[in-house]
Amino acid sequence: MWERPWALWALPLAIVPVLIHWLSRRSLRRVPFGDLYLVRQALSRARRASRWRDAALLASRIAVFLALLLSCAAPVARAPGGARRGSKPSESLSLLVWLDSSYSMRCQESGESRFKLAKRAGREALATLRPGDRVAFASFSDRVDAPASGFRWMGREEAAAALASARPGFSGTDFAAPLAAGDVFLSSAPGRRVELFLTDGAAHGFRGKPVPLGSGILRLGLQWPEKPNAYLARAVAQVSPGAPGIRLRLEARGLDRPRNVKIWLGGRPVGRARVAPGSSWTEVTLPEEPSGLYSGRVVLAPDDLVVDDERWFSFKVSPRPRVLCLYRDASFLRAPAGGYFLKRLCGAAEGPLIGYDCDFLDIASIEKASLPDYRAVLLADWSVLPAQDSERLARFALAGGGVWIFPSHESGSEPDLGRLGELAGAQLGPLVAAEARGVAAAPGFLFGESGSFELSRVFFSAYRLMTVKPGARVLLRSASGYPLECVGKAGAGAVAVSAFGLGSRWGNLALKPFFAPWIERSLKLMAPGPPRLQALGGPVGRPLEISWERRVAAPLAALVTDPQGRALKIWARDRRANFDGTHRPGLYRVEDVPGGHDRLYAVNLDPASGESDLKPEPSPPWKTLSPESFQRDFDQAVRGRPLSGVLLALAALALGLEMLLSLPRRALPAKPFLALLLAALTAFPHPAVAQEDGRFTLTQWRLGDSWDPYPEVPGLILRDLDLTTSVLTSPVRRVITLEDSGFFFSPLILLAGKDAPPSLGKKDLAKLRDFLDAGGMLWIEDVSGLPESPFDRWVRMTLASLRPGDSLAPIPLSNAVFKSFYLLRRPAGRALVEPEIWGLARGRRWSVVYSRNDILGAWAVDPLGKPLYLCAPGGEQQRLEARRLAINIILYALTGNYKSDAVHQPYLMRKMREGTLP
Amino acid sequence: MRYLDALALAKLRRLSLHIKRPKVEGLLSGARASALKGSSQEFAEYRAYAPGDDPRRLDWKVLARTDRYYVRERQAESMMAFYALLDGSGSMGYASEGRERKWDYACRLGLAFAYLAMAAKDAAGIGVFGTRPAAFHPPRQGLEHLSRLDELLARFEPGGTFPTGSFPSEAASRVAERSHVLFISDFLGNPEDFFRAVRALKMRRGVWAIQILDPAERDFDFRGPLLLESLEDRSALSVEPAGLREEYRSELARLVRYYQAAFSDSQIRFGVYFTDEPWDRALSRFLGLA
Repeated sequence: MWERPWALWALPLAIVPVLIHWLSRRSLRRVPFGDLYLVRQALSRARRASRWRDAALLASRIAVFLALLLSCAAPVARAPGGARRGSKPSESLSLLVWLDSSYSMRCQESGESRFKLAKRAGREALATLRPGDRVAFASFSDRVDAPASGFRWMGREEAAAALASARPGFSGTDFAAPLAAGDVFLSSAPGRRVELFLTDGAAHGFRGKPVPLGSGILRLGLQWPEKPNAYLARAVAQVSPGAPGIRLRLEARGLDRPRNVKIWLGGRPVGRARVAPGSSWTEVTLPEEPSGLYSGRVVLAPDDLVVDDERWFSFKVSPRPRVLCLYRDASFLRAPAGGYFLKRLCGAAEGPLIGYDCDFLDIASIEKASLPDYRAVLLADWSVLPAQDSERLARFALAGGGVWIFPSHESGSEPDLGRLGELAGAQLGPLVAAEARGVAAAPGFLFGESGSFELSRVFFSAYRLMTVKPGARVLLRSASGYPLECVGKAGAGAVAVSAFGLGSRWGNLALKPFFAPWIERSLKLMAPGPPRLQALGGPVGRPLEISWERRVAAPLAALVTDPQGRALKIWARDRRANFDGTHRPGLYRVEDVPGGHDRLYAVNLDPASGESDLKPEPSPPWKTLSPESFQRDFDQAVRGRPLSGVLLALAALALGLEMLLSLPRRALPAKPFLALLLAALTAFPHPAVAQEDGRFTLTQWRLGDSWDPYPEVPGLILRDLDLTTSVLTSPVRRVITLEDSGFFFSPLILLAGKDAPPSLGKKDLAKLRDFLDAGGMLWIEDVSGLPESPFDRWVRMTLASLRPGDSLAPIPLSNAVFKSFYLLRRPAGRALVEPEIWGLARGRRWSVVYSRNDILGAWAVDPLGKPLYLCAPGGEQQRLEARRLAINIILYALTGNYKSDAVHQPYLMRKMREGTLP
Repeated sequence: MRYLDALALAKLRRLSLHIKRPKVEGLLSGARASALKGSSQEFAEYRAYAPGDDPRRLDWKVLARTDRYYVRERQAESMMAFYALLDGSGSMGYASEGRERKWDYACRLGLAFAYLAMAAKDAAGIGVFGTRPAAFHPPRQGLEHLSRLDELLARFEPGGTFPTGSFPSEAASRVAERSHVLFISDFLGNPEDFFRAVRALKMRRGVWAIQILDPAERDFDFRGPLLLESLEDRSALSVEPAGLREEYRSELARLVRYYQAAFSDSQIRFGVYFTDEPWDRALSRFLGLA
């Protein structure tokens, strides 16, 4: 897109370089020249390179123009979405900002919470707004926190203030609601429509059904790295019959390593535990609280999200429910009467077998009993109940208690229970003999298949016939289907009637293992009562349901104090009250007003929301932006990335290329380049190459300690060789050893010394022999100047070892060695130790030339160029001849016996006679 | 005279004394040993007697010693004809700023050689070849002839192209055998054509060749884009000298090397000189006197 599209009209100006190029050719300076033959030849060679060069030059000039013109048009690269067809970069922006206030946004990122960082990103987004842009702001968690009037456009400052005042909550996340709401709100918004989600984009927020999203809205969101998070999911309590206190079972999730857990009961630490990945449950036994109220918290070792590492608990453990067993006479308590078995259930030495405590009372003393203290009353072995007692028990049942009637075994009389009998679920009739064994329990009353077997083993010797009243539930039947036990509602309570008694006179029921659970189940059915262990509390956001038991006086109101200490009075109705202010986790105190009785309710984060799982959604419905570079990325995403800078950079590049191509082409200066190349070559070790690019290199053999008596002399010889002869020389000598693979690369190797070098082994001798046989020449110089020298002995011994029969022989003066360049009449050197120079012949040539007269010493000079040593006895003439001999030896090595062969002599003589030789 | 003034003549006079020295004897001296065997008193060589030889030329002493018949060959002194042939094509009219034209330089050299030949009692002539009607003056002895040669050259204006195809036949028709020819040109053109044209003169003649170039043609030191207009064929070429300079110099070096090798193989002495070198020095260098 173009911010200044009118600038594109200037694009044809890019033809200017072409015009200049064409016009410049027309206005060329005319210069006469002799002949264009050479120019054409040169052009044809340079044409290929110059053609490309000219084309590149023209192209770079056009590129400069184009890039500059295009940058004037201010192109902007914009991400798709958000813009209507035909919109311009300059059109206004409609921005809807969503702030995620779920509790996962409390996760720390390098010391700051994601919520804080998200707010900062929101401020940065607001800072990019321009005049004419509009913004709306809302927060969300598991629901949209929008005002009742709906979304509205606001100015930047108002949005910034709303953003600043936002606080994170303790709820989960659901993106469906804000996505849908944003779609609706922005669908009618003008300009470029952008929706910004300041959220962690966790995957748990997308668990619902995908929301179909409209197009034309650019959705952007933040991106956070995946982070492990451990949290406490549940804290449940269990009560063991007979064991004091409660067992607290803790479940931790998201563990990546074992972690410690601390438990506080009330305000005091009561224990520690450890949870590990793979075994996320752990148990802790809390000490007994006489009040039956267990409130406190459990804390996991904290990580980046601290709020879910703490779990509050509040349990109320009610005393064991009590039942009252009323009997007629004391024989009921003795075997085989039912009281005996009942007493064993409730008061066994090993502890009660049922969850009830049982008091036994003669019915004559019923006045002494406080019936409200009991969950149920058992009328054992009863036939006729006094009216007042019946009335009393009837009131008890109607008030919510349970009454269980067991008939007497006396025949002939039918039980008369008076008012209580009217409430009973069945009417008892005469005693009859039982039929075959077995009873059947109502579905769901007792237990499954195993219980059926036990029930089939029960028999009764007799039972009373029972007429079940409508509405009553039959719990047990005989094998033939006669009802044996039923229960019916009586007001708030229930009255159960059994057709048999508890004692063994009736049958073997009291002796069966399921006698205890049958008693307990029946008691629970007729008088359920509140659970013994109550968890007080609920998840954050759900209203607290406060209730008072019937046995307890319900207050008019209750004062609820939240964890932050703020108190609110709520009114009770029908022994219930609701508190809506569970906005944060913690312990909420509920005090009766009036009354003073208080309890604690534990409000916790809801693990079912999945909010503690911080794994990000891999493919959120928005383009993710990094919080680190948010403002730049947001601006680029919304308004597009300006490409002017890129184009200007391209223009600069093209201009640089144009300048480079415009420079006159010059060849690399040869000598410095060669020097550089030589330096590079000599900087690194490499095999000796005696001949470099056709130039002769004087190769010197490093052998022994005195191998280099005159280090500067080889250079002087090479310089003189270059000046006086036509041999192309390398200015620097090459030093090699016998191990060097370049040993064979030179036609001539110089060996100098005065002390004996190390003896050559067989391998070395073989290599030297191969060198000489292949045509190489060895020039040996004894620089000692002594008639007897260890070097001389070594030379003779070594040369004699090369081949059997090899021996040094004097080189005659007529040999080519003495006329290869200069015509010499005698050997020479610094000293004249011997009147001849020696050689080792190979065929017609000398493969070894050995001088004992120190030819090299005649070359040695001081830094001022003056000779270092006197040449005796011949003086300077001898020096001159010595130097010439060195040149001759080298030329001999290069040309062999050429001068002696004289093959061109007749041709030269004829030419001279013809006079055609200039 | 236009090309050889008094100072030039004085230099030439000194030069002519030098070339009479023994080391260069035989180059231009009229008293040269001719390759022809003649009737002079100078002994040349022995030759076996063949039927038809003059018996008076038998060497009786050799016959007495060896009992074999040998004839004594004597050398014949002869006057040599010297021709200076000049390239009169348009490119020879080129001169860079501050320099004299290659044509004038060539004329001066050609006349100088003619002077030297005449001073050595040889005959010298001048020829100019180009697309324009050739100018030619046959060889004559005597220095008084020099002014006519000078006049001929002064009247000629270089132009057109050099006829490498017709030059050999045209030159051969005018240049006598057993003469010496000096060909002066800039040799800018197809080198093989030029070489063949010059080599064709070699038949029974001694040939020298001198290439004359302007320093601008050597250095190509022009600046800025140009439109070069050829004086040879009037064609034009737009060039960027800076980008072409190295290739041009390489081409020139290649051309000169070709001529040097080709002429050397054909025993034609060849020299390259530039108009920024004094003509007399060029002359001395060519003759091996400097």
